[in-house]
Amino acid sequence: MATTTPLSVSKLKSSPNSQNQIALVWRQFRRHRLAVGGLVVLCTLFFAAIFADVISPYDPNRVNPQYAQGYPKPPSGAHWLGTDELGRDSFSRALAGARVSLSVGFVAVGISIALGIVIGATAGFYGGRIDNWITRVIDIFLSVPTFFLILTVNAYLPPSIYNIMVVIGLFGWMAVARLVRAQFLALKEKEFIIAAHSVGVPGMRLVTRHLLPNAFAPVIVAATLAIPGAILTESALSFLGLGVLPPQASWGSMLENAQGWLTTAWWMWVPPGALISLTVLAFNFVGDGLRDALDPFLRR
Amino acid sequence: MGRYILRRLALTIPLLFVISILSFLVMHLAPGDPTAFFADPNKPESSSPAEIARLREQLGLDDPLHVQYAKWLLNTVQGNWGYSLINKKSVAGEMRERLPNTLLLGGFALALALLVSIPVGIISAIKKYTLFDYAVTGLTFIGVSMPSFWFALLLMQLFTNQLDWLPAVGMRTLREELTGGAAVLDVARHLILPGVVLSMGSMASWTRYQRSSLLEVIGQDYMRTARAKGLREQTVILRHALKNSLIPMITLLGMSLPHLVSGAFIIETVFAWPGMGRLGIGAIMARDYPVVMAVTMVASLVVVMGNFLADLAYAWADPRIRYE
Repeated sequence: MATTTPLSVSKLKSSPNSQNQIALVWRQFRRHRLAVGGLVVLCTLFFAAIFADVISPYDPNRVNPQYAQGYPKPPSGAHWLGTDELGRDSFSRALAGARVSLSVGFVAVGISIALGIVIGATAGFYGGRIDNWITRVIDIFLSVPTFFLILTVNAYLPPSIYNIMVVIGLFGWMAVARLVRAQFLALKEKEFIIAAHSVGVPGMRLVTRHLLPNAFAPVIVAATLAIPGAILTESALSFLGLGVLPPQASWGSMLENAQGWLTTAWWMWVPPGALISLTVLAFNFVGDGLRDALDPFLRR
Repeated sequence: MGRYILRRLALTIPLLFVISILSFLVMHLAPGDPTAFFADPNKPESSSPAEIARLREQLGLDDPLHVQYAKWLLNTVQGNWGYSLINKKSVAGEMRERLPNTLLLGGFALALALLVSIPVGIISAIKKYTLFDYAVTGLTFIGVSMPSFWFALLLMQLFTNQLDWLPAVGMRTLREELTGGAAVLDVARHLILPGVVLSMGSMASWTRYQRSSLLEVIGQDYMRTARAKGLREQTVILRHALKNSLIPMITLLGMSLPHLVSGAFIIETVFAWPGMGRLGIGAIMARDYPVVMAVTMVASLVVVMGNFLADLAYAWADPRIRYE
């Protein structure tokens, strides 16, 4: 048998094969009914967030004091979810909030994942003393009450949605780093990696072509399950008044504003909270479905 | 075991040290200046450059960062936690007043979550794929997904505003001098709503873990052995499965502590509970460095010690763990 070159190793995983794999995962995912339901909810929310400007019947920040006269107005034909005490249309604000929540979720988790992959891959690939130090850093970050640090940093930064995304992302990489590290450490012992290494595949290529693709599935699952955490953190920040800059709407800031109208105006606080719960629930279901679909050991 | 405890303890001190540097840097590198808080809009001279320079000098804000940190560290280990920049109260005194309230709330939430999640998780696992199991699974998903502050608003609206059963704010009824048993009962009534809200997230996720942990144990070979030697199902579950399924819960308990502490910050604020979390949020808003540092350190200490105890309990409970 001829010696295997790195080139032919990479040829083995060409596109038809990976397309097959996507179909396989999708077939598995479809069996998980709640996950499919979650996916439908998320697609609807995405659609609403992307086309918020077109769907919104009103400008979410436009006040209408003549209409509201200082009191929130209940839902009506003109305002489906009513208005707040300034006469701002709650439905339009909820749509704007969907945009905030989803973009914070994705960007923050994107940052976490990028950091986590780099840090975890470094630890797992080099092992030894570097691994020891990185593990210790991860332990430190895991034992800080991160929410309080996120609050602190946000309080000192100029309030903006971009800062929130970055700060949440910077404090959320630990789980992914641990995961990638564990995967790398386990994969390094596998024959195909030893084989690739022994035929002289350079380190960087080993990481990007052989190790990372095989650590991909658990990272995708972890990411899907981390997004709801980021969304909850953003809404908590906005609820405490340390989130989006008023008058910008976010589900959390709508709830903050609604606290004064708890008994008098249910339409102020029920929809934003229900939307947060629904979004988080949908991401959790999709994450669970993905985990089952991507784990080859669970397949019958 | 003694050496393991010492070694593990020796690791926590540098940990706290690094946490303190991290939070110190976060607070001092970020823009924003506590002197702005002293500016009185009615007295223009209070925000004059000379006055600000005097304040910065007085607060030690002009020293290089490492000098400020060294000063802070020296003072802190000597038990001198400084004074709040805002109300000039001693930070240590304030902490002594607030921390017990937070521990009361957190302890109650922890106990409640444990008392509910472990039995419910066990029953759910034993009665797998029954109506009860599905209902529990559904509830745990909702419990994990609902933002705690929204759950707080729901309970407040229901039990305080509509039913008028429970108080929603504070820790004691104001303008009433209660003593003895009546005072304890009063605090207990105030504790229920924030305690339930704080425990919700942990309760839901622990139930799920207890369920899957027990299911995993039930699938092990030694369970089949226990049944094969003719033990009654009850004995098999209670004596063999349950004990082993509780071991991973210990780690989980330690890992949930940061969540519980974070939750306390939000929930104490919503329910106006006079604890450390509310103190911390207020201090963050006012850029009150000494208080923010103290709250961060005490909260981290609680988390680190919790993890330490969880590790010890794990090593004690699982003989497969070799501590060397």
